Amino acid sequence: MLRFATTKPILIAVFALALAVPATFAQQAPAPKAPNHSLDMTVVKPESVGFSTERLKNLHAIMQQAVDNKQIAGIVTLLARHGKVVDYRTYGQRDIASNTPMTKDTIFRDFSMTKPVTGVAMMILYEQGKWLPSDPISKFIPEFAHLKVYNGVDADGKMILVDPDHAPTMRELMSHTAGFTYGFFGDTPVDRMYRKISPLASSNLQEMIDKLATIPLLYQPGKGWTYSVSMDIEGYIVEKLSGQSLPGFVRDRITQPLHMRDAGFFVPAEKLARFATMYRGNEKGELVAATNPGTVERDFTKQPTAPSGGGGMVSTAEDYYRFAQMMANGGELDGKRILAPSTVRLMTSNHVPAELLTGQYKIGSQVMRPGFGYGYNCAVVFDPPEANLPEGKGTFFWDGAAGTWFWVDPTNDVVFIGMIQRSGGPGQPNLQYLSRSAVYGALVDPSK
Amino acid sequence: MKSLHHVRIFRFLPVAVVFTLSLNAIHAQQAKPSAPPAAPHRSLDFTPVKPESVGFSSERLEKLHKLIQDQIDQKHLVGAVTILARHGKIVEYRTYGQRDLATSTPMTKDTIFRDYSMTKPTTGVAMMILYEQGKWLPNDPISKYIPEFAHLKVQKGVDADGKSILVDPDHAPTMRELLTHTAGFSYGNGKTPADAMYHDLKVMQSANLQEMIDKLATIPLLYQPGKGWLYSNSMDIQGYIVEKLSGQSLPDFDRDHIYTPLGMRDAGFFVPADKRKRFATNYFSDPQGNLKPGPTADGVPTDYIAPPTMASGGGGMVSTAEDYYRFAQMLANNGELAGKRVLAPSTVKLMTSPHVAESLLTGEFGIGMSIIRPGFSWGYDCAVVFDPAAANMSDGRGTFFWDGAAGTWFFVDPANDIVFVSMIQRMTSPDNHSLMYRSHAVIDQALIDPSK
Repeated sequence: MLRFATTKPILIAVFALALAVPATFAQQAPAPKAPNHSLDMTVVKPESVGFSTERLKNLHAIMQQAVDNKQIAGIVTLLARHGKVVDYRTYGQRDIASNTPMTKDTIFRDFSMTKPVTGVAMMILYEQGKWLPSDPISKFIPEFAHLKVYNGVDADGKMILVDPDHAPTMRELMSHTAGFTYGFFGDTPVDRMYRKISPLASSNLQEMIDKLATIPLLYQPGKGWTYSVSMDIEGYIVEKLSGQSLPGFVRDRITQPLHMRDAGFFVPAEKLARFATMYRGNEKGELVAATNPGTVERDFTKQPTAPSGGGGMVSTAEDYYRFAQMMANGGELDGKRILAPSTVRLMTSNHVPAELLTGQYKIGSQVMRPGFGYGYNCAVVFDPPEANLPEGKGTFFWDGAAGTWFWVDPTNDVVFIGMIQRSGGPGQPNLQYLSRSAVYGALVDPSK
Repeated sequence: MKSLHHVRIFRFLPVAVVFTLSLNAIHAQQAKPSAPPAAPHRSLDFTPVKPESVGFSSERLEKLHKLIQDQIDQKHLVGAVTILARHGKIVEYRTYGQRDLATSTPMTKDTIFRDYSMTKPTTGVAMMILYEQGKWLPNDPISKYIPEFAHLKVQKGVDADGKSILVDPDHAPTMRELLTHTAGFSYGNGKTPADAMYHDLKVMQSANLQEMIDKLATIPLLYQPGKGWLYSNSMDIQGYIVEKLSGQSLPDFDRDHIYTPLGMRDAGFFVPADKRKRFATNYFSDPQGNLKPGPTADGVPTDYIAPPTMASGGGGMVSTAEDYYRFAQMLANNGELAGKRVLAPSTVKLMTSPHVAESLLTGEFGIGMSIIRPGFSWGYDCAVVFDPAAANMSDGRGTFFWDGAAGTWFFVDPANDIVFVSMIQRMTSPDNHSLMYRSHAVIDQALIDPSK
């Protein structure tokens, strides 16, 4: 069908056509992005990157209303596209009692938003050839070599234990499908063991591992999805494989190169004034100051002896933005490369088998369902319309127990960070998903 | 010699370029991929272009004219107005037959038609405007917005005395289920006790939407939410939600957010006095296709003389062909028309993607000839053909559409960038769906050069 001519002008024309053709394909595959060699936090005009200033007001209204309705004390949001900041705002207060306004440099408890950072730590070690997804976890944690699987209770109410059909793998660890759990979502004997033995209340990570070695897996590896302490286990593996503490490794390899200045596993004395107050909703839905949610009391003023890869970090909105933008850039920010592009893609692809994406496995508003799966340490929406979501294909994200959230949309090249500090209770608005509706409702010209 | 030259050329062209050249040729024959960057249509020009200029064959389009004209000649159809567009350009805009037989009034382009269920996609857009404002999410339970529905039960079956067996819903029906006819509501056209309640309580003839909701709160769902598909008054329920979340009446909300920005001058929920002479007469067909003029269908505003006290999001609109074309072209343009944006592109995509579980696409659920089946699903307030070949249709991937009880129909084919609107007024005809689906086939066969 294509006849190659021999005369020079036609050759040039054919060559020119060939050069023009890739433009039609730019819509099909992500365009190769020039690395962002300098991170400029200057806010650009929304229209310059395809957003509508007018429609972004919906986003502001949603956030402001949550504050006005006293459902949330204060918020910091940051929206970027193509590596440029489009919208970066504060709302409400960091502390209600002292009337302290929310500021951009407020430090927040990330809780489970720590998990993607731990994921990157693991992928750095993966790039060094230190582990493979198909390796059994017990290769790195021999204490787990004899874990059994819970298979119901017998007539006397005692656990029936069976052998795992296969040794749980690293891939299963990284995607919450290995059989671990947290112990507060159910009331099986396994859950009760977690609550009684309290692996996360250990004085160091080895003790946590030793405790976990005595608790059966909740289900056959690969045959279920349960939100779990898997990333705390990964934190232990990072320490074991790197010879550094988890905070040390994360500092040297992630937060320092990315200039995440206030990110870490505790808040030093000189920064405590910027540390946000934690709130929760009481039974009437009113905001009250709270200590940590969950079962583990946490002192954020010192470096923890059992640092939690599943929930131990603190950061500002801007710190986490730098992390997320690095991921959006395929592993690099400001000239500092943390991961290779293919590693980012491996980490942020869905790794949960389709037969588990039924809607029965979930945590909070994150429901594993058609189009919505989980990669390594992050959720992945690989078919957004199927999942009822407006973002682009391949969007990956997570959230935290204090309500913080973020997402990276590699198709539309959008990054969003939302930081609040409210740990539940009636009347907490679903800011994470409402912000998506408003942000994508404002993305009127994706071609820009 | 020729083969040597071939070799020489290949050495000049990098392999990747050769690959993309050949891919482009393949690509030209396939439907276009997802949303091309659409240049905003800054002014809407109704001058028809030559069909060939946008890939159609004038000669093959004659089959479409014949399809409609034959029905008029057989006296099975009184008149029609059709608009066919591609790439936002009008390919043809025609009238056929008459608007009223008794007075021999010819059909005109400015005739106003009863849209009936073609109202549903506009209610869908109203809901998506509120979605963009963060007012609701698809996974929210309906009862978050309609607490009256918090205690709905499910009719699991009928006992020996013919009474409903009621059970709790396995989950509270969601907004997504409401938007896809999978929540468990109905129109009451079945033979179960719950269906009878729709008629006995005169749900669709309520004095206002709150009364409709209060009545519905007493009727069980027809099946477990998410486990069936049944054409229903869900869009009337959405109309209530639009009013509740916006603080405006449905007609006013639609006017301010949809009709006015899109220049849909005659669209509304009634026909005012100064426009009534342009209002088409509605005809009823008997099973043999013979027509006689009649009153409007059961339940929806009976005369359209005044603004309804119960605005029907499922079937209460009237409009001209051109009004509805503007609405459909806005959707085809990813949410914008002539510089006025109604929805963002990702919102249009979300609305017009298939949202019914694949396990329901079996062929057992549907309405008329619109049967949900492999490749043919339902999005938010519209049917969606996501795999035309599997669904035995010749349209492009992602074609979305709907129709109304008086026989009006439209479709948007985003892959081929086609919009088609056809307005008739023929109720209870055995032939309405057949005409609609045959028009898809006939229009598709006239598109001989999709690359144009």
